[in-house]
Amino acid sequence: MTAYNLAAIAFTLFALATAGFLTCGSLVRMLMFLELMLNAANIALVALGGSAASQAYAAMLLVIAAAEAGVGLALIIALAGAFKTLEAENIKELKG
Amino acid sequence: MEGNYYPLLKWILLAPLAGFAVNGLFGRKFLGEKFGGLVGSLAILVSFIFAALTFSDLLNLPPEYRLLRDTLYTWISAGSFVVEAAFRFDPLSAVMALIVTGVSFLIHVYSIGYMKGDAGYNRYFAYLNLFVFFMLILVLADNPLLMFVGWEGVGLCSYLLIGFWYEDPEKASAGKKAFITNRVGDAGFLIGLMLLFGLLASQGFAAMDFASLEKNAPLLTSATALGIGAPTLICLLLFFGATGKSAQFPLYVWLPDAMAGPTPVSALIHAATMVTAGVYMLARLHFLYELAPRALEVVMLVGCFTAFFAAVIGLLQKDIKKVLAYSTVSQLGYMFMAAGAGAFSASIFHLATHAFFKALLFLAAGSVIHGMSGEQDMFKMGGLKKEMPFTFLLMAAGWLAIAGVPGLSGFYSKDLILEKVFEHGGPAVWAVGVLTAGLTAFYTTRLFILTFLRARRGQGHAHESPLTMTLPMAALAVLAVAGGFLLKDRLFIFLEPLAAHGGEHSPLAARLMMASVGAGLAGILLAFPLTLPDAAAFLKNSLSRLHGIVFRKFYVDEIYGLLVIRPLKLFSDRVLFSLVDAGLIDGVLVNGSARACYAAGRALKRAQSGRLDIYALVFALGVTAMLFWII
Repeated sequence: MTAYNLAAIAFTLFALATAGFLTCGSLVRMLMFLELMLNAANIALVALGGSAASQAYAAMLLVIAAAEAGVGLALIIALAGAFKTLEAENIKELKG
Repeated sequence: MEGNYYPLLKWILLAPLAGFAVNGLFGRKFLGEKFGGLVGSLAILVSFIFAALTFSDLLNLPPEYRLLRDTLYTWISAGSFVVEAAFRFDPLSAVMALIVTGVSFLIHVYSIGYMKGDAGYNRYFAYLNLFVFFMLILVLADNPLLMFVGWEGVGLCSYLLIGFWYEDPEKASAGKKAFITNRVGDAGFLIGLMLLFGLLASQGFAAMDFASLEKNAPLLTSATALGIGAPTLICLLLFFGATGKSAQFPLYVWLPDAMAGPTPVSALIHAATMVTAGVYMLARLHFLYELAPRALEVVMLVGCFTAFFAAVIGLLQKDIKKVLAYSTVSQLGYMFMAAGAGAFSASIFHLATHAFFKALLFLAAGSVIHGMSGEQDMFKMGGLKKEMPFTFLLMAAGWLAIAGVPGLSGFYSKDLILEKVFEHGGPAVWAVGVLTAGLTAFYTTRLFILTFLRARRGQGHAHESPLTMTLPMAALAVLAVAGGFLLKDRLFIFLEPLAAHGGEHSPLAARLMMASVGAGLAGILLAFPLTLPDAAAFLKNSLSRLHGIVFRKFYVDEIYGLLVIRPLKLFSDRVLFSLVDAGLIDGVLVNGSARACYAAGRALKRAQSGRLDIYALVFALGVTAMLFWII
């Protein structure tokens, strides 16, 4: 596998995750697509970086992704309790 | 700077100011009617005493050193342009200061009786003191700018005193009329001053005191502005200011209306002091006017026309004060005629005698009005000789003095003016002057006959006025009778530098005098038969057109209303109010900015849909666009 192929995989994964994030309505799925975007970034870091620093970034990114998932899920649970729904289009409190 | 430092000078000014402060701040509560008038009069008396002391010191100096100065502080200092709050006491301001304080004091004393029982008693004396203060600033100022402060100040006090009984809308609007008309003239005065200062400063002479101005004025002769010589333009603008303050054509209209104020005010402001400010200004700036013969010609012609015009209107007035008002306008015309003929000291002489006899006439008229409980219509008076013997005698003195009966003060000054006018202005102007003298004699005699002689035409009762009113009148009567004789030579020797044309008489003097005295006597004699009811009615019917025009004062007020006031009101209403104020400021700027914010909010609120997926889409598009731009 060349670095070129790895980059193509990372880019494709990121594009698919973004498309999924923009099209799906559920908050939980949106969070999952976000995780995928982070993973795509991770692949790019490992594949293209080559140095120790980029490996360290990749490890840190995994931790941040885990923390983000924890905070995001907590928020989603609170929103689900308040609005009795997980569909983003039903939560429009900020409408002007 | 030349002139001796003389610290006493400021006290002439400060006494009336102190009187104003005491009466204005504490008058009503602590002084009341009993002491308010006393304090007001004493303030002026102190001022008069200081003026007299300064005057005697001035007389002890040799004639060429007769100039006392007192500088309080530097008023304006802008680069090389420095104006000081400085006062000067030279023969001209000495004469004026003595007239102002002396006549004012008598009128203050008279007011104690006249204003008795008025609700605004202390306010009245406060205003009167303030007026004297500003008048003294005007007279004693050592530069035209400080003079302008006094000039505006007396205008303000005139407004306050004309509209003194402000509950009456007519009187309040008379005050406004005086103020606004004066303002028109003041604009001319101010522009003239700026032009004078600007042109002198551009030549490198920024000093503004009268002595420096006199020295530097000849530099202006070569300068031009607006295509005519600078001195001529400046003099004309300053004279326009004088027509406002001294009630000359075309700005005289405020003075007859100014009779709405209390009568002593008319005597003080609109006969003896404020209206003479224009004449004083001309005499003070005579060096400037002598550089501008064309301007002097204009001054003489305007004075001549005003004298005649106002005397004609005065012939048919019913209101005793209105007759005197038009007479004042007419007499001021004489003063300007003299000034225009270059005889500045003659005009100051007439100013002095006029101050005496016109103040006397006004005070006597006030006494009559007081005695008749407010009646001013002469056709409801008559036969007051019996009930008011003192006023009758005193009024007679004033009447004969203004009519030009030989030996009394009006005779000397008017005669001198007519002689000078004949020499420098030609026979036509002189003839109008003589005719005016006849008219003057006629209308004052008419006033006298209708008021004091013949039988009573109204029902009103009359009573003689108290001593506080008759005594000041008596003092003025003495001055009106003897003033001319006493002053005629002394004044000219005293005013020496001004009296370049003063001393000697022309060979025709005796014959000219005969003519003017003849006109005066003819006026007096004609007035007796022509004021009989039958004769007056016959004249009125046979000359009804002319009578109508003169009786309506040549429709000058109506013409002003049509040409100036109506267009101005229309312009204010349509353009300034409807378009600018209501339309532009209220509509576009105030409400418009609020409405613009509101509309912007409505437009932008669509962007705030509250939908997360749309926000995410926009965000993604934004990031893509940025990436596209970067890469």
